[in-house]
Amino acid sequence: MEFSEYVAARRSRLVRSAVLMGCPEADAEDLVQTALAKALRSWDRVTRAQSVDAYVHRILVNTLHDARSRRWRGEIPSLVVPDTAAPTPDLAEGLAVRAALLELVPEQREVLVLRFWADLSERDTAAATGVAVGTVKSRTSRALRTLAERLAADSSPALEAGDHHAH
Amino acid sequence: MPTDELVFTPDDARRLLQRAAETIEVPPVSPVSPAPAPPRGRLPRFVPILAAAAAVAMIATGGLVWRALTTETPPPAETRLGEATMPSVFGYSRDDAVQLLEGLGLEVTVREQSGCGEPGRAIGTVPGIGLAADERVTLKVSGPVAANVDCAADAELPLSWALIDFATGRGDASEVPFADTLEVVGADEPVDLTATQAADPESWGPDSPLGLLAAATRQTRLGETGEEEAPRMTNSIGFPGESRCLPVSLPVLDETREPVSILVGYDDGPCLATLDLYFSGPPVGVLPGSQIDTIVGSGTELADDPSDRYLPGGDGPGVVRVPAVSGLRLSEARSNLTAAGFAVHVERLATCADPRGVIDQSPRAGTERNPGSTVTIVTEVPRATDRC
Repeated sequence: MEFSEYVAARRSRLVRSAVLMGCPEADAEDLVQTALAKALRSWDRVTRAQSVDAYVHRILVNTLHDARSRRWRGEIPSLVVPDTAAPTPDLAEGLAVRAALLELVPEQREVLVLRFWADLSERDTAAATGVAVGTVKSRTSRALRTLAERLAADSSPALEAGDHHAH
Repeated sequence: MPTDELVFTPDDARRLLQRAAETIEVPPVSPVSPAPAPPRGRLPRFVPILAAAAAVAMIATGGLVWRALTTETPPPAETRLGEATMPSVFGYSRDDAVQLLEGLGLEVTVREQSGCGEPGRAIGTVPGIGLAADERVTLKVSGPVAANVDCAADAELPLSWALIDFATGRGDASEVPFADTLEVVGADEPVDLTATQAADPESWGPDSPLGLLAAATRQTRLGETGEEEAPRMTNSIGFPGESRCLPVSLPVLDETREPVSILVGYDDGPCLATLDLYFSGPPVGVLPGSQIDTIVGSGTELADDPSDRYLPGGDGPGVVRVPAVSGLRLSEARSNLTAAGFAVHVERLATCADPRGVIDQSPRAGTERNPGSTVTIVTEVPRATDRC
């Protein structure tokens, strides 16, 4: 795959990945540009990897960590509600989910985004985050539980929709 | 006792994250200035990265096909031989690389490749590192910037390469503007060098930032594709915060002085060495007259023998491969290392951000070591609020 084709197809999704993983929305595009620029410099290597998406997400996660430690210095990303007069129910649900994600620790947030938004396998998620597959499993389990608790605490529409399970 | 525990299934999570993603607007075009970004105050100003990012932005706008960095596919890894293999030319100038390869009895063809790197600096070889050295080899060097690609004027600071040349003994200090007194901060106690001492690599000592830089340039790793990879050099300008290369205690410096950083490492992996250069005048090597008065170096512990690196498999008798523990919580990392038979030394690094657990380890994951040897791990801990 040509680099330009990949960018055209995946850039928007990567920006959303960055925001969902906790990058301030205003910085997400620059962060993704930086990650893509890194990928470009190694594009021949990237395309020989088993999964281009997994490789680029690994670079994105590293770039996010690097930016966080070098610049944000403790800044807590905040959720800015889009400036719309009356959010649709779907938008409200999505915003509630984003707010709940921000309450998770970064490790849990990242594993949820990589697994269920970026659609990476457990193995690719482990590679992207630099941990063992078993750790991905346990983090995912904890993250799903915590997310459900946060949304329940917020009485979000997501929960009211009934797509959760009681055990 | 509560019995009603809420749990989302993976399908629930996919649906919810899809909903969350739909609230994020992404404009179709994302222009990036080719010049270092002025501060919104928190973005890293990676100079070469921004240069390449400019290319990315142009692609995003459509119309431009970027081929400047397209490289040939190296020969398959099966051609790897035990002897007469290609060396890394990372950090070499064109002339030095030609001399290195010709010294191995090889006939060298030089091919320029457009990009944003310093013109005339070696990019790589065909065949690649570690592969059988044919009688004739191709040396790829940076050429002029490709048409329609807007690199920042100082995408790679020439000073960085001059310092690498000096550190590796392939150049002298004449291109490196040391101040009359140079404070050197590294793994050892800070020392002051006179300009004369600074110009003599022997005065710096093997564990100095200069030694770290030289060692980092010699490293390679076995990449995912089974090919050896050299690290890359990047520059950043701005307050470094906690360096990616650990462990090192950053000195208390005048926070109004922002350094130029030279980073040698892998985009998707560990940093090998970071040198933060502080200037006596306006920052940076892009302005004449500024002199380096302080160098802060940090680096990952590197093997003296560059062949001591990631190993693809085959655990030798009596040695154990160091497990990967970066990203784990301290307790998990300690448990995994102990289970593998290693002693654990923990270093803690205070951070104002959310602690990420273990952020570095030495020796690196995959390195073979004797059971009972010590693995040092660096873990982040919260910094006192009043110091953030």
